[in-house]
Amino acid sequence: MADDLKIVGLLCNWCCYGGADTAGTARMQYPSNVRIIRVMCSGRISPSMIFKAFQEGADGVFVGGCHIGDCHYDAGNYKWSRRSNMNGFQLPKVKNSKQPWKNSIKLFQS
Amino acid sequence: MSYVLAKSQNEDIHKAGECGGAVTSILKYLLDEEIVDGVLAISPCDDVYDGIPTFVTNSEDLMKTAGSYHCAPTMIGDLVQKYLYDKKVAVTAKPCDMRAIEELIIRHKINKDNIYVIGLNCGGTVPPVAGRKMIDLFYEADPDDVVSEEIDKGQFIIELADGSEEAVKIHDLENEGYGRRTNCQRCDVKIPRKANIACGNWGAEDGWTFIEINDEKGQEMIDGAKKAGILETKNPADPAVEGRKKVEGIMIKMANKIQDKMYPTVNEMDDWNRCISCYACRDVCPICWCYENCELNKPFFKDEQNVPPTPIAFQGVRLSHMSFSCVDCGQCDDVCPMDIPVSLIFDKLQKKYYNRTGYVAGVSDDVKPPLYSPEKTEL
Ligand SMILES: Cc1cc2nc3c(=O)[nH]c(=O)nc-3n(C[C@H](O)[C@H](O)[C@H](O)COP(=O)(O)OP(=O)(O)OC[C@H]3O[C@@H](n4cnc5c(N)ncnc54)[C@H](O)[C@@H]3O)c2cc1C
Ligand code: SF4
Ligand code: SF4
Ligand code: SF4
Repeated sequence: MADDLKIVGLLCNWCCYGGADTAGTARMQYPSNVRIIRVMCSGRISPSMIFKAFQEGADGVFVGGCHIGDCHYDAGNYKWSRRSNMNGFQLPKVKNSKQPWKNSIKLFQS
Repeated sequence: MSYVLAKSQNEDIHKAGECGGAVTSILKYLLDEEIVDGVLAISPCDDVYDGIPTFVTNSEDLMKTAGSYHCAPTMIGDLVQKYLYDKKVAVTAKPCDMRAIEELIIRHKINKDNIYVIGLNCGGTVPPVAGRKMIDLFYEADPDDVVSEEIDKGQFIIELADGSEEAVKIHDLENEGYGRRTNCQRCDVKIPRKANIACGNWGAEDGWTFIEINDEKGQEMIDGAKKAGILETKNPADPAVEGRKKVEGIMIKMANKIQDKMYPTVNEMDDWNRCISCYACRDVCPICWCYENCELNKPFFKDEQNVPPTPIAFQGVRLSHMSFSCVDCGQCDDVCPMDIPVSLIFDKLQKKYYNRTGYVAGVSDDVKPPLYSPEKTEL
C-alpha cells in the first residue's frame, strides 16, 4: 500500500478490534497509515462518520465488524450491512473522483 | 378497491371543476359536515400558470380552488407536516404528494388518522415560466387566453377561453427542453393508490370524474357526499376501466424509457463539485424532516469558521439518510442555485435501492424502508 494513503479504520470492539489487538500482541505488523477508531459495534457507525473521514482528507475508510451471525449485540452488524449499501452505491464514484472534494466556500477562502 | 364515475350535484361546482367537480364536492362535504378543520388545495393566483397552495376553512372559498393546475410544482406533504400536523385536514394530492405523505406517516410526521387524501392522477407538472414560454412558441394561442391544460394520449392540450383546443405532442415539446419538469418525465407512479381515493379524467366520460376507491375511508367519503346530496355516482363501463389501465401502462412505459435515457447522463461527481452546500435542497425536501436536529447541523460537520460540510459530506449524508425514500418530487431541482439535477441523482439511487430490495418510496405496502428493518437479513 502506498505510504501516503490515509485510511481510517472503524473497528468493532469484539471481533475486529479484538482481532487487531491479538495481532498486535503476536507482534504482527499492520501498515502505519491505517488509523484505527474503536467503536463498540459496527451497528453504531453512521454514514456521517464515513463522510466526515473523507471530508478530513481520508483516502479510504475501512469498516470491520463481526461475522454475520456473530454480533456481540445480536444484530448490529446486520444493521450496518444494510446501511452500508447506501454508502456502497455512492462511494465507488467517490473513489474514482479525479478532483479532490472541496467546498466552494473554502475555495474562495484559499 | 372499486371504481365509480362521479359528478357534482352542485351546478356551479360542476362547471368550475376540471372533470365532474367530484373532488371539490367531496371537499365541500368534508368541510360542511365538520369532518375536517380545513382543506389544503391549489388555487390560481393571476392565471393558470401560477397555482398556489391554499388553506380553506370555509366551503364557500372552495370554488376558487376547483380545476387542475398543471403549473403548480408544489409539495402538499411537506406543508402538512410543517404546518398542519395537529389539524384534521383534507388534501388534494398528486402521486408524488401522496408518496411523500406516506413516507412521512411512516416517520410519524403526519398523523394518518388526521388526514383525508383525495388523490389526483398525474401525467406531470410544467414549470410556470417555461410553461408560458412554451405556449408562446409552440402554439398559435396567446398564453393569456389559456383557461386549462391537460395531458392526454401523449399530447399536451390547452383549452382556450372560447372553448377551442390546441394540442402538441409532449415528445416534441420535451425534445426541445420544454414540456413537463424533468422529474415528472421520469415519474412512473401515475395513480396515487395510497390515497383514500384516486381521481382523474382517464376512463371518465365528459363531465364526470373517474374515481378509484382505495380504502374504507375513501368509500365513506363517497357514500357521505352522496348522502349529503352533493355527489352523484354511476358505475363505469368495463371498456372505460380497461382503457384507463391501458393509458396508465403506456405512461409508465414512457417514463421507464426516459429513466433509462436520463440516469446515465448524470455524473454525480461533476455535479456535486458545483454544490455550494447551501442547504436549500435539504430544507425543501419533504423527506428531510429533521430541521434543527439535522445531522448536517452537528458541530462535527462545521469547522472553526463555521463553513458548512463539503459537498461529499453534505450530499453523502443526505443520500445515505433518505435517498431510498426519495419520491422524485423535484423540489430540490427547483431550488438549487447551481443548477444541479439533484432529484435525478437521488431518484437514481432510489431506483438502485428498489432493484436491490423491491422498495418503492411511498408506494410499497406496510413496510418500513428496509434500511430500518430489525430483521436479521442482509440486503
Ligand atoms: C398536474 C395534474 C396532472 C393531471 N394529470 C392527469 C392525468 O394525466 N390523467 C388523469 O386521469 N387525471 C389527471 N389529473 C387529474 C384531473 O385533471 C382532475 O384533477 C381530476 O379528474 C379531478 O377532477 P374534478 O373535476 O373532480 O376536480 P375538481 O373539482 O376540479 O378539483 C380539483 C382539485 O384539485 C386541486 N388541484 C389542482 N391542481 C393541483 C395540483 N397541481 N396539486 C394538487 N392539487 C391540485 C384543486 O385545488 C381542486 O381542489 C391531473 C391533475 C393535475 C393537477
Ligand atoms: S431528494 Fe428531491 S426529489 Fe427526492 S424527495 Fe427530496 S426534494 Fe423530492
Ligand atoms: S440530511 Fe439526514 S439528518 Fe439532515 S434532514 Fe435529511 S434526513 Fe434529516
Ligand atoms: S441546493 Fe444545490 S447547491 Fe444547494 S446544497 Fe443542494 S445541491 Fe448543493
